[in-house]
Amino acid sequence: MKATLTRRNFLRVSLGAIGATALAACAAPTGPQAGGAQPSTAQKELSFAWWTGGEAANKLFEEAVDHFEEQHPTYKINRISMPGAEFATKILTMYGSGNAPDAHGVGWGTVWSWAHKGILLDLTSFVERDASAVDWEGMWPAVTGGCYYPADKIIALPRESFGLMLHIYNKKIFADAGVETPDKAMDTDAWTWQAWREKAKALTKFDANGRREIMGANTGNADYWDLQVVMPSYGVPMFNKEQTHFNLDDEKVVNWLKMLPEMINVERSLGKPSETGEFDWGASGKQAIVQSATWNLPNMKETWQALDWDFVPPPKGDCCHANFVGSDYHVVNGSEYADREGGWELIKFLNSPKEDLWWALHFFGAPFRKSNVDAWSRELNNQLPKAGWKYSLAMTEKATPWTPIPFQDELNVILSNEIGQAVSGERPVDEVVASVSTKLDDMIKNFK
Amino acid sequence: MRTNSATNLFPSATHAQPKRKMSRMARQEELTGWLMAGPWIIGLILWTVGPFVAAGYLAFTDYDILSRANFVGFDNFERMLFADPLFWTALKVTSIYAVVSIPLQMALGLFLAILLNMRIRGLTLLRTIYYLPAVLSGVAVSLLWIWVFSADWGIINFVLSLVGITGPSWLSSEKWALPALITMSLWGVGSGLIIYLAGLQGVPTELYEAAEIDGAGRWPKFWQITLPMISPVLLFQLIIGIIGALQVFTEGYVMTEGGPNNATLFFLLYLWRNAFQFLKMGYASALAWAIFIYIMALTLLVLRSSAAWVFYIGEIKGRS
Repeated sequence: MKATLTRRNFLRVSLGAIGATALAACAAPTGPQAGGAQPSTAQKELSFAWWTGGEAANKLFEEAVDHFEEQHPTYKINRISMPGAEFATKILTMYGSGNAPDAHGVGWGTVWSWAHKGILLDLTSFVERDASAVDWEGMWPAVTGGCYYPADKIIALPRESFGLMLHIYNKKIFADAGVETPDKAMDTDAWTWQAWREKAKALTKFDANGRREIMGANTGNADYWDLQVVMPSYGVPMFNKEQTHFNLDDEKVVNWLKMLPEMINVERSLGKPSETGEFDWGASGKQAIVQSATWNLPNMKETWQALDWDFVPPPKGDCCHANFVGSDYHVVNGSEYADREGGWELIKFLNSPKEDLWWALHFFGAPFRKSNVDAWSRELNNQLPKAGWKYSLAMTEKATPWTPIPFQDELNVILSNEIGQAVSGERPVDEVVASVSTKLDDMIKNFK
Repeated sequence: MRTNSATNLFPSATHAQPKRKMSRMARQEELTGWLMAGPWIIGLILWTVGPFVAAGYLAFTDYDILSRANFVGFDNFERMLFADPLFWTALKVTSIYAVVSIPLQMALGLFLAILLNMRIRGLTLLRTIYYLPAVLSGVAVSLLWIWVFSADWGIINFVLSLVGITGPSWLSSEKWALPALITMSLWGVGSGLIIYLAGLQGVPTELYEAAEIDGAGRWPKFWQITLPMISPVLLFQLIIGIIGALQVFTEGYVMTEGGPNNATLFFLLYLWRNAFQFLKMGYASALAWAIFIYIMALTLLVLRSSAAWVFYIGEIKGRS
C-alpha cells in the first residue's frame, strides 16, 4: 500500500521532530575535549569555564590549565572559554539548566551577587582542611576580603589581583613644562588630589585657537571603580556599617566630585569621558597624567613604547593614599551534580603561590600572595624599567577590596545613569548626588 | 472606468469552490511546500511561539533562572503599573521616540522616493546608496554615530560651529540625547524608500495625464492622486514603523546605556536589564507582555482607522 503524506501526518511528524529536538537540547551536553584527546578510563573529567579578554589572555588560561593537568594526570579538564561580555549570562543560564561547569571564574563585581543566589559552593571546610596548602594568611586581606559571603563563609579563591590603580605620567611633558614629576611629591607626601589638580592645570596646553594640545589628566566617569580609589583616600567607607547606604553624599566625596566639572569646563585640564574614550591621548604623547590600572600595562608596553613614562599610586585625600584591588575569583559549582572535590583541587592549584607568581608575571597584575610581591616587582622592573614599582608593596598592602555587595549590578546602573551629568557639569553635583542617593537607598531597601 | 479596471485587475476569489480530490502531482506539490516551509515552521514554534507561551506563564511568577519559579499571581503587573516609575519612564521615552521618529522617517522616505522616482542619471547607484545603511549592523552603525554626535569632534557640531553655533553634548545631555537618537533613526529610511518607490511606480500614469488635462498642478496631483494611490504602502510602513520603533534597543544599549538620567531608557532596554542583568525573569516577562499588548493595541487602532484614509484600487466604498 502506498502511504501518502497528508497535512495532518506532516504536522504529526513535525511536532515529533520538534519534541525530539527539544529533548535533545535539554540533554546535558558533553564538554569539548581539549586537543581532541579522549580521557583514559582512569581519568576523571572536570569542566572549567573562564572568560576571554583577548587571544593572549586566553592562551594564558589554557596554559594554566595545562599546568594543572601535568601535575594532576588523573584529571582531564573540559575547557569552556566564553567571550567576557556573555560570560555571566551564559554561566547563569547553565546553572539554570543544571549544566554548569564544576569550577569557573567570577568577576569581582558579581561574585557576591552569585553567592547571594546560593549557587556557589561553601569552601570554608575545604580551606580549613587544606590550610597549609592554601595559606590563607599569606594572601593580602584586600584580596581575601572579597572571598567571604556572608561574612562567615568562604565562597571563592582569588584568581588575580589585577586592579591596582596607577597614575602614569609622561616625563617629557613634565620636563617641557618645567613641572615637577609626581614621584617627587609622592616622596614628600605631597601627592594629594589638590596637587594632582594643580599639576594637571599647569601641564595643559592650548594652541592659538584655544584648542587643547596637551591634556593635563583624566578621570574615569566617577563610577564605582573610580570611587573605590577616592572614597577610602578621604577615609570614607563605601557604605555605612549596615550596608544600607552608599556614602556618595559624604561631604568630602561631594567636594571631590565638585572639583571635576571645574577642571573639565573651567580649567579644561581634564578631558570629558567621551573625549578620552574616543582618542588615546596618553599613547599619542598628548596627556601628562593618565589614570589606569595594572591590567593595562601589557597594552601600554606596546602602545607607549616610544614614550618615557613612569607611575605613582593615586593621589591621597586627607586620609591616605588609597588603592583598589578588584580581584577576580575562582569558584566551585555548589550543585549536587558537580564534582566539588575536583573543582576544589583545580582552583586550589591555580591559587597556589607558584601559579600566582606565574600569572602575575605574565598578566602584569599584582600577585595576591604577599610572598610574591618582591619577585614580581623586581621581574617587572626588568621588563618595564620603571621606578614606580618601588611603591608596589605599599600599594598592595593598603589596597581596599572591592566592597562586597550583592546588588552590584543594580548599583552600577543607578550610579552610571546620572553621575556623568555631575562630572560633565550638565547638572549640579549636589542635585545628582541627592537623586542618586535617594534611588540607591530605595533600591537597597527593596533588594531581595 | 476606474471601477471596471479595478475589478478586472483584482477579480474576487471568494466564491465557494466544491472540494475536489487532489491529483498526485498536486499532493506532491503540497508536500514540497510543507517541506520547504517546515524549517521555518519548526523555528517559529520553537523560538517564537514557545517563548511566547513561556513568557505568558512566567509573567505570573517570581523567577530568577536559578531557582524554581514561584507563582505570584498578578504581583508583577501590579508592581509594573503602580510601583515602578521606571516602567512609565521607559514607556514614555519609547512612545516619544515612536511618535516623532515614525512620521519623520515616513516623510523623509517618501520625499526621497519621489525624487528617485524621477528620471535622473545614476538612479540605480543612488538607490543602492540610500539602501546601504539598512543592511549594516546596528551595533556598527551605533558606534559610528557616537562619533558623529561627539561634542568635541563630531561632524554635527563641526557643521554647527561653521555658522557660529556651539553644539551640545548630544549623547550626554538629558535634553538632547533622545532627539539625537531620533535624528539617527532617519539614517535607516532607505529600507522604506524602496517600498515607497515600488508604490510610486505602481501608480497608473493615466491618472496624472487626466489630471494634467484638467489643469491640476504638482500639489493637487500629489495630494489627490499620489497619496491616495500609495496609501496602502503608507499603512504598511506605519505598522512596520510602530512595531520597529517600540522595539528599539541597540541605540540605547550601545550609545547611551539608557542615560543620562533615563532620558533614553527604551522599553526593551529596561526589559533586557530586568531579565539579563538583574535576573528578574518573571518581571521581565510581564514587561514583555505589556509591550506586546501596547504594540498590538496600536496596530489594531491603525488598522481600524485605515478604513478612513487608505484607498485600495480594487475596493469601491459602499460596495462589496
